[in-house]
Amino acid sequence: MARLCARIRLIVMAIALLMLAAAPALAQRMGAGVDPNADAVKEQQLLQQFQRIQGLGTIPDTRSYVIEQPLGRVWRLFHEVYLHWIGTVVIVGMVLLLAAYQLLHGTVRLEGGRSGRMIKRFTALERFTHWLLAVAFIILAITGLNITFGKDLLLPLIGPTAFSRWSIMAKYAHDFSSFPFVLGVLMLFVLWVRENLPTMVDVRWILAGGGMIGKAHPPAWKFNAGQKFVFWSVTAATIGVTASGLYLLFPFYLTNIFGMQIAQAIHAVIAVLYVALIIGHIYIGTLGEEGAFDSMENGEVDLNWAKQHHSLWFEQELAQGRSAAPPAGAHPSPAE
Amino acid sequence: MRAFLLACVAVVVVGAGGYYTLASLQQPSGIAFSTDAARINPQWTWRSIFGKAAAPAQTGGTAVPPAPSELVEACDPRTATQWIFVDLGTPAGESGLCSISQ
Amino acid sequence: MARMKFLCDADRCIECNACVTACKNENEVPWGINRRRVVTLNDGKPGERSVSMACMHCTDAPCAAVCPVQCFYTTADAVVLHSKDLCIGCGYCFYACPFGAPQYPRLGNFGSRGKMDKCTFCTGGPEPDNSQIEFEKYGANRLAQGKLPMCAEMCSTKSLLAGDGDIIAEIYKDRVAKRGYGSGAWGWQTAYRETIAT
Repeated sequence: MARLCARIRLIVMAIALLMLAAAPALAQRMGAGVDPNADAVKEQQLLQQFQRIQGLGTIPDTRSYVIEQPLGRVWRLFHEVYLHWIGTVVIVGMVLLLAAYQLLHGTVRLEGGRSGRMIKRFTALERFTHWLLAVAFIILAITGLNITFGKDLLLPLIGPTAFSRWSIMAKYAHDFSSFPFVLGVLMLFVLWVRENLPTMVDVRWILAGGGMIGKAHPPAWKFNAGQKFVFWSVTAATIGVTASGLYLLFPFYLTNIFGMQIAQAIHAVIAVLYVALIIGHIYIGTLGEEGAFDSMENGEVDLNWAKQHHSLWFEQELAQGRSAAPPAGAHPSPAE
Repeated sequence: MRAFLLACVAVVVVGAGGYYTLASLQQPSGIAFSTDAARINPQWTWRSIFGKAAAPAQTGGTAVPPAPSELVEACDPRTATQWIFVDLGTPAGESGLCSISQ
Repeated sequence: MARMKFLCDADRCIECNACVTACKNENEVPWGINRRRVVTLNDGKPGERSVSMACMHCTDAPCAAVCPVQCFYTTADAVVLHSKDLCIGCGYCFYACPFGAPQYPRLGNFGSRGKMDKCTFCTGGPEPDNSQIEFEKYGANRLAQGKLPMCAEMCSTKSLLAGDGDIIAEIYKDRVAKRGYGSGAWGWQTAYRETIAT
């Protein structure tokens, strides 16, 4: 028994001595200079790999798991610098272009003046739908441009409190005008798509200057190439802004931070181009062409206008016996 | 002209319809980003239990304040909806003490 | 003048969330609004790291630049604050923020996401210092009382440092020199366009 105890004591002492000897070596390994986090990720490494640092958090908001996304600064550059430039150049450029055209060429006049005889062009439904989307578009355009340009143009004039109140109402108006706008575009697409399919007549119309450049009056069906261009541009642009707008209306429901930045960029760029396009459309429909506005005002256009701008459609309407009688009291036009 | 005026009215009507549709889809972040168990009724405090229990003891003299567990058992069982949507207020007649989260 | 900064020492953070709790309590932050949060990288694997993140109060703050109503302002201490009266709840500051600091009371962006809320470096807002209305809107104003943000004060390992940028950079440098390692000041390059040489 005693010998067993002695043996145990010997072994314990040996172990103790070994540990003492090992202690400096242990201390050396755990001392200064050894990084316990050597395997752990580093910030720059993660940023180079993923452009974003994302981990796991404990709160239900999964957006919070992204702790750094330097692309936010890039998006800021896009929104504050590039978008301002794109928007200004495109919109002011369009206005200047139209002004130049109006000064140099002037309004496209009705040859032979008004005949006084009218022919039906657009039904009440078509006119209602057009005005539905037109009114909604004006609201969307003004309130949308306010987000980007309001603080540069309007804020200095009315001060921060008034501008903030206006912007709050504008944002509500923008989000909710989008519904009648999309409805209107959808309805108009269904109503007019067949008459807007491109044909060879349109190619010849463009090559002849479209009645805007030069003095020719190339034939056209119900919609000429310029109108078809607007129709298809509106369709494409509406799809673009609606899709990106849905992403913006439901932030992070469908995508992450990068997707949201892209969605906003797409929405903004298409929107400013859209505004420029519609400014051109408004010009042509009002000031740019005599007799054009009648079609949307009450649905009927002057016979001379129809002959000059949409001769093929006019012939077709005549053949189907749809010419309107001269208005009561008006004298008949000279030799038809 | 009539088409234009009708269109203006339609913009307002369809827009308002859209507003109410989307409002029904709206979620406050306090509900969306908190779990059921974390949502206790903000009215609830320990103080409200001991405070009420202490008052009669002062006037009565020998009354023993009820333990919080007894007060909780005095409440009717809550439905699942009531447990989840604690923020929407307590049902009529029920004391705020009954909203102890689990 | 002091230039206020945050520094989360990612080598010391133990994911205790004391900073989160302290912020929530000190500022009476409502549910769903997460001014400060702790995120763990490589959770459960070797090389796990946690970082506490809130508003970094950037130099040339991108949130301030993109705000359509310019509701942001920078104080003399370089703390980036905003006015909830002017905020329209459009959500753009979140897209611009590299750190995900802005928080909104509503999920959908129909009209407004509600008034944006974010870490204020415990500096309150444009209302008068330490008034009731300032507390209700923006939370505590500790800086006006000469105190530092509650999150850093409560950090259990002193991994989260807040205060004068030069001073906390010195503290961090000393730490790295003493212990021999350091993963750097996370977020400083993006927020302040500078790093700490260690």
